[in-house]
Amino acid sequence: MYDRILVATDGSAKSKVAVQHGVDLAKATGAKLLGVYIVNEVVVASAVRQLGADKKDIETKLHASGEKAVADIKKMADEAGVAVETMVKSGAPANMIVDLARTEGVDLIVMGSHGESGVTKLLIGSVVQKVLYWATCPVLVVR
Amino acid sequence: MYRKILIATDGSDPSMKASRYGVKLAKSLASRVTVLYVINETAISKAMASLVGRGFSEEDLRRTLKNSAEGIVAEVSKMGDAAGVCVEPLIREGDPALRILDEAGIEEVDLILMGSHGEGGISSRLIGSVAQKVLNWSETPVMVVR
Repeated sequence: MYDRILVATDGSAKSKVAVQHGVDLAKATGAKLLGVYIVNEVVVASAVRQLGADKKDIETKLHASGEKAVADIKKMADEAGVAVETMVKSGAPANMIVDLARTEGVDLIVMGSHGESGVTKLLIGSVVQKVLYWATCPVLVVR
Repeated sequence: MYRKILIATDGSDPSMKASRYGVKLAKSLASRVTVLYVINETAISKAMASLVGRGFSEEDLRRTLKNSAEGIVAEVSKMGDAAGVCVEPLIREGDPALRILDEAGIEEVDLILMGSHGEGGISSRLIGSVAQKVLNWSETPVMVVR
C-alpha cells in the first residue's frame, strides 16, 4: 500500500503521538519512514529582528532541537523494526513539508493536528491546515 | 493497526475515489470498514421547498434520496467484496460533518477516511467544508484523500 511515509515533527509531545501512528502504519504496510523536522525560518527571522538574537546562534540551536526530534523518530522506528531516514531542513514548515512530499515521492503525510505553538484556541494548527490545502498526496491528521 | 475504518462518502467522484483508496488501505491493514452516507438535511429541506406541491410528496423525495444513498453505499460494499474486506453500510440523515463525527464515536472506529472534496466540488475551495469541519472536531485520526 505504501512505500514511503513522511512523518513531520516539531518535537512536541503531540507530534510524537502522530509519529507513532506513522511508525505503526509503516510497520503494517512495509513502508519506509521519512522523519522530517523543519526549522521555521520565520521564527529565526523574528528572533533576530525583534529579540536581537544572533542568527547563527539561533539557527544552530533550532537545528540541534530538530536533530533531537528526528533522533526520537529514528528511535521509535528502530524499536518497531521500521526502516527510517531523517531530515532537518530550514524553511517555511508547511511549504517545505508539501515540497518534500513531492520531491521525495512519498505516498502519505502524517502529522499532529497541533504542534508546539498549538494552543487549544485553534481547532487545527496552521501548519497542518496549510499542508491539507496544498499536499498532493493523502494526509493523516492525528489529534 | 486500525481495526475499524469509517469511510465517509457522498457519492461524488472524488469521494468515491477516496472510498476505493480506503478499501485498499483496509485490505492492507486487515481492517473492517463502515461506510457512511449522510443524507444532508439541509438539501432535503431546500429540495422540499422547491418540489413539494408540484406533484412531489415529501415521501417521494425521501424515498428517492434513500434509494440513491443505498446505491452509493452498495457500490462501496461491492469494492469491499472484490477486495475481501468486510464492509458495513450505514445511512444516516442530518448534518454530514456532525453525523460523521457522531458515528465515528458510536461505531468506535480508529480512523475516519474521507475525500478532501465532495459534491460541493473542487474548484471553489482548497478543502471541502465537510472535511474541514471533521478535521476541526474529530478526536479520532482523520485521513484526507485528495
